[in-house]
Amino acid sequence: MKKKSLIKIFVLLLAAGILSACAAGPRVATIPGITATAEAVYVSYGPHIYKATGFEAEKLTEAWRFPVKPNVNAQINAPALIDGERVIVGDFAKVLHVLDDKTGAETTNFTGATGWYQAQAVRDGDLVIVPNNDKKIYAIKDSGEIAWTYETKYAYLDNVVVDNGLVYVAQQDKKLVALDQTSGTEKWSVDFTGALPSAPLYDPDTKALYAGGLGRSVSAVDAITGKLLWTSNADGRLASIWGTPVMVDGNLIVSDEKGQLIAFDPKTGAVRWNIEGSGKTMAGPLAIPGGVVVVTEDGTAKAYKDGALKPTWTQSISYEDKKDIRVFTTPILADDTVIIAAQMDRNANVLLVGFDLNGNQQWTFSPQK
Amino acid sequence: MFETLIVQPFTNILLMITMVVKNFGVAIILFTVLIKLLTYPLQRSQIKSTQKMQDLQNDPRFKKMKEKYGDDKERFAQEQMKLYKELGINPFGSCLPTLIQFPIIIGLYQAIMKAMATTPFELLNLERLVYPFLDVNKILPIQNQFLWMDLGQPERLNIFGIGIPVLTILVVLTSFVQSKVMTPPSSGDGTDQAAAMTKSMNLYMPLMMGYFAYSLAAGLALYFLVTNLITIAQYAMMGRVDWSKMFSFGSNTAAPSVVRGPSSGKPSQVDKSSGIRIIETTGGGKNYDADDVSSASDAKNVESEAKPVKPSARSATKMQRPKRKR
Repeated sequence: MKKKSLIKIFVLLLAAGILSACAAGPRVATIPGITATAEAVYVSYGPHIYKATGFEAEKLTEAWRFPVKPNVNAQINAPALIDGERVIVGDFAKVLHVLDDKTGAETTNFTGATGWYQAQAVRDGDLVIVPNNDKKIYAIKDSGEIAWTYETKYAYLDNVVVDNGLVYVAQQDKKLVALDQTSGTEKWSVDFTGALPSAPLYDPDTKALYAGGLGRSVSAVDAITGKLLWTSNADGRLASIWGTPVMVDGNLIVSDEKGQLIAFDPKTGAVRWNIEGSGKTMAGPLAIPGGVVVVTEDGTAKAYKDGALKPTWTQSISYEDKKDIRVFTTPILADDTVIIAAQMDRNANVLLVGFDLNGNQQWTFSPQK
Repeated sequence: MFETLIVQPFTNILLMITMVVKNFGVAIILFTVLIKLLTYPLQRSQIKSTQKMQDLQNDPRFKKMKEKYGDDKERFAQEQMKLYKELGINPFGSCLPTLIQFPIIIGLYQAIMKAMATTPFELLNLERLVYPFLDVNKILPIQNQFLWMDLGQPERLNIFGIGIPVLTILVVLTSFVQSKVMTPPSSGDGTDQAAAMTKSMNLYMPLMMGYFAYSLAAGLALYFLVTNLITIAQYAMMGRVDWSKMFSFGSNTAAPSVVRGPSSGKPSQVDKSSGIRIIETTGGGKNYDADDVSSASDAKNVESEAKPVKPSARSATKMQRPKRKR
């Protein structure tokens, strides 16, 4: 090889090194997205979505990963929609993939959006409704044709909620909006005190929506009329809320960034009880039979059951000799198993841990490189 | 530590500017200009020091010293230090401003990255960076729309359904111009390793920057563009930009064989017998270019060894330097 060529290669590598150092780490900092059925758990993280099975073993088995060869420009972080025998998941390369659940092979895709997907798609009749970072919500027919879109000023961060013929959308522009399910036209919108980073909770019993956000308060809205029912900041105690509230035994439970758990009367907004926070928390609470599980960022999971204000069980997530385990994703419940997704190795790897409802660790899963 | 001392204040200043101007794109531009203005004295001193060091490489005394003590590294270093002292050169004069500027530039870059939060996780990190006295609710979310760009996404201007990366093209062009103005003209003949590396760098660096502008968020590409433009403007203000040679795609070391003298405006000539470049002055006297000879005592020695002067880009810029009369 000529000397000049060597110099060129050296210069190129040097420039790449310098510029890569400037943009160190993942291009976009995200958290894992998880979904589960009774037989399998699906986790989107980094360049892949993984399907893991074998809940009876201590370590789950990777059934498949998509794509097989990673594409660095196509991070996948949105939780997947398990749609019968199909798995629908969007990526950061602006593609909504439809995968075969058995093999993980792509059967079709939708490329009509111009931004990243970081929210889960929702099935509604013959439509798949999915928000995108291009500030639009897409309602897509099974044929791949767009039924309608709805646009706002800010990127969408979380999934929509569908009920009563309406699509409920929590937006960053401090609004909770209801769209007509068939046309996508706006039916009503309610102003909140801060940006809403997570989906609202819809409670069919009270026919109300509950949401909180960066405004450090939680509000209840009539799901049919859009009337604001109440707003509470728990006497100024609430910090920012990053996760969707849950309803447990007639209590509306919210966890905030300080890790506090606050229970509200869903009809009046009065505070019923309050548990002091034990650490920074981004993950929302998880409703389990008779209680709630909350996980702090340092990987400590606590379960509060039967109205007790002290944790029924506490578990620290650990894996081999890893010391930098962090949790930001709201846990999910599948077939009486609490599934927690953690990040480790300076956010380079994902770890799933399954606990039974008594806090006993059932299994772990971490994909092989 | 770095986050608390540099990145956090920078991010908060950027957010405060955003609150005032109500536009994140304008805030990025203003903030970059502000930081570049604040670091201008450092950059100016760095450019001057670099120039002094480059001039020294061509000083006959230095060359002579190199020949004499080239094999004795210790002695050479001692003599070099003496010469530095004599000429009032601080050997670290160009390193120190660079070192001071480095964390500032990295901090600026990171502040923009952090303020452009596009995922809930990034939004959480941004919220935690905001000082308590700033109302996070008034700041977040940040409106990422600027002109046709979504600053949180790679930029494309859609014309008749075709996404044209306008910002990428501008970044490549300005990076090219910037690398040209920042590259010190070589005194060599263009075949040495340093010259080849410089030439490669001038070609590949803009392409690399273009790739990053193409694939990263438009907010960062905007920052690259503004930084490039300001750097070019700074060099231009210091009289270090020769626009006439800027877009000559030939060798970086190539220069017109005739350059204009500083005072007469007449072209300089090359003495055919000695190869020494002669620049006519208004007084009618002749100056020998300092690269070729610096004093009468050296002249004889140099003349005997002198080779024909090859065209050099350096010739064009060194006109400003005082010439010693024979």
